[in-house]
Amino acid sequence: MPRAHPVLTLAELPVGSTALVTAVGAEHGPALAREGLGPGATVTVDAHAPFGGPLLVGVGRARLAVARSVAATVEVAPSAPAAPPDRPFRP
Amino acid sequence: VTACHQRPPGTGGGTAADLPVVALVGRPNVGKSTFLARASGRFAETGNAPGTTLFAERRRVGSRNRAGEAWLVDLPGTTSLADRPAGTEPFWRLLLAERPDAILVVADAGDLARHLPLILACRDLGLPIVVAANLADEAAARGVELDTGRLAQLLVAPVQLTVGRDGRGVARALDEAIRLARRRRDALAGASPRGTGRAAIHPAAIELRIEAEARSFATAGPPIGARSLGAAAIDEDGLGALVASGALSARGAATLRLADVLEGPRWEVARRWADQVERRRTDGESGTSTKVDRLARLSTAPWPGLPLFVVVALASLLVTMLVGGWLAAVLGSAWTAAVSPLLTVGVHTLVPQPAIASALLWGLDGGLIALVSVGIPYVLTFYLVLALLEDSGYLTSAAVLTDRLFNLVGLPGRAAIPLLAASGCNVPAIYGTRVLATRRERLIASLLVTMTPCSARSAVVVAALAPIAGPGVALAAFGVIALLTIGGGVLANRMIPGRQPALVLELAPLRRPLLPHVVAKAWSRFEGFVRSAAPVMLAGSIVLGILYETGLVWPVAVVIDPLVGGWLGLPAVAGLALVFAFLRKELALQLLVALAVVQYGAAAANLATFMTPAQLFVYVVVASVSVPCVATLATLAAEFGWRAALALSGTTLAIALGAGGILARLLGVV
Repeated sequence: MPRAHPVLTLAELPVGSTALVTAVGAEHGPALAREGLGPGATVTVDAHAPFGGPLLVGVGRARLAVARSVAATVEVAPSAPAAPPDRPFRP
Repeated sequence: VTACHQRPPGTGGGTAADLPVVALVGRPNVGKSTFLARASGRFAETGNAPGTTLFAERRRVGSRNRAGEAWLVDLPGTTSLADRPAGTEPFWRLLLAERPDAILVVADAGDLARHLPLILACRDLGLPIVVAANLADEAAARGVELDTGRLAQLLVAPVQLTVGRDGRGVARALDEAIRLARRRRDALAGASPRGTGRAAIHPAAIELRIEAEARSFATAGPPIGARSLGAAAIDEDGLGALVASGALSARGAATLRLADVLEGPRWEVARRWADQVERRRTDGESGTSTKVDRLARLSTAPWPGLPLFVVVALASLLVTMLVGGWLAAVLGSAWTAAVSPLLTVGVHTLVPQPAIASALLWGLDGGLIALVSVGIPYVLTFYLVLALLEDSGYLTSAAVLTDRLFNLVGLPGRAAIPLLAASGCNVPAIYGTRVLATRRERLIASLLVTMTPCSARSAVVVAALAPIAGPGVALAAFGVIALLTIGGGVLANRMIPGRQPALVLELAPLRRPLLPHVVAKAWSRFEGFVRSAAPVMLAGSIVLGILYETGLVWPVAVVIDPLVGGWLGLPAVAGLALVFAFLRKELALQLLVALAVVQYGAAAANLATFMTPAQLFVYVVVASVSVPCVATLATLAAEFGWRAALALSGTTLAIALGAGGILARLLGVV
């Protein structure tokens, strides 16, 4: 089904930004779901590992390493940066 | 498959089998091993594989009040019941094989939303559960308060705050679990288990789907004890058989079959419930935690993470080499001074035939001294360093930093763990490849492991080259070996069909390692090493002794001469040493000297009299890369089957001979 807006994926988010997961591709869906990266989860991109390595993503209090190819299957909607109470312990 | 799966014989006569069974389940990094240590009063672990606890381990534990005794079964850390921690079987199969009467779920008190889905999955099985909200100290430091009463109400299960590190609350959580397990064991008495009457928590559509699936188990399940081919074909995952045998309720089986469907809804429930039971203070007390968080972030950032990684890796190797080298010298000289003479006299007294006595001494004295002067110093030291890195949580940071590099050979960053272990000894490193997800990854990693010089082979490289050609040349040899190893990995990645699964990994939080835990972990792995490697090493030594003492080694020289003399440009004795070093890799040098002395006379005790530095260079590279030692080969066969073991060994032999011939020409040996 054609979409009205271009889809933003986790792989495209800049470091430091926070977003809401809206959909996850079928291939990696189960593996991501077990790590809490399913629709409805709030994620923060902490860093990009060197040499084109995985993304480091904050989900709740946990930090995940997610390969870029996997992150590209995670659709997100950027959330307003003015809502930080989800992670009150960030410096 | 392993002894760990077997129920140890009960110490109290026939009652051991009647004790209720409590299974310990939790996500990785939740401090489950420490919790187990506190619960059982013993710091030790299964740990025959560096990297993780991979098998179920049973410990007999007693309650402090009247709840009585039980078996506490430790299972590998898992993110869901559908995970495949051992690469093949799903976690629920490992769990149910233990026939648990209750499940003690260890969760993070400070991050309930993340741990509730697994708790809910265990609860769905229909077995009694107890939740240990662990790491309560860390949660408190972060300003997270948990309303355990409310959570217990929601779950319809006991919830206990615990601190595994100092043991707070652990005994109480265990008591609850034993009490529930005992009650189920008493009530059950052969009857089929039923649901526990807990309220439905999912949307109606999902509950209906679970019910429909459960009905299919209740009606279509094979009859008790059915092992017919037909039933197995219908019941591919074995759930129907488990329901029929009474090990699992129909609803429990339904939730296992629908695991992927239920995962999302469980996380939604988890988020909702976590909001209800967690209270967060935002006052100043969270200072120490944020410092740790910041450190964790820095350790995975390119700067300063990468330089830090290089420093940590070099420091680990340096410590292993220095402490190991020192221990090797001390233990080796102590053995030669105190034990060797006794053994020699003893064997010659008991065995009058000198040839047989000498062959036996090869095994007993020569084999044991290898264990004492190589195994104990280097392997044990390495395991201590590894356990320290593991318990500090740094290892996953390193795995993330290096992930992309390992991808070049088709491996995830996690493969760094067995490869580091390989520099101690290849045998435990091959077991260690079990941390990898697929057989393909394990095969590639095992090839790299067998090509990585273990402490014994490193010692040969250094001892052969450093005195004659200088330490720089020894270093160059390591460089060549490393290049060949990487080349082997690239080749294997091309040739073995399939592709690498993409990485999704939770990073371990940084924590101060608990010393007793580190020591216990290193020690139990070391025990595993001694158990698996020592017998093969001793047997190999005795066989080598017989071949050497009877002169049976010499005819082999004629057969291999075209390859050794013509292609590699080495003297015949070097070829023999290469062949028979298979039985004792660490003797590759002594063997060469011993054979040379027989052929050329006493002056050959000095390597330089019959081999040029260039020839020695070729020799150590070929000896180090070609064919793993007999203990490694036996381990490969046990893990992957003989065909794969021989294919891996053949590959290393081909690479070693190919590279050896090219080196010989480049260095002007031929």
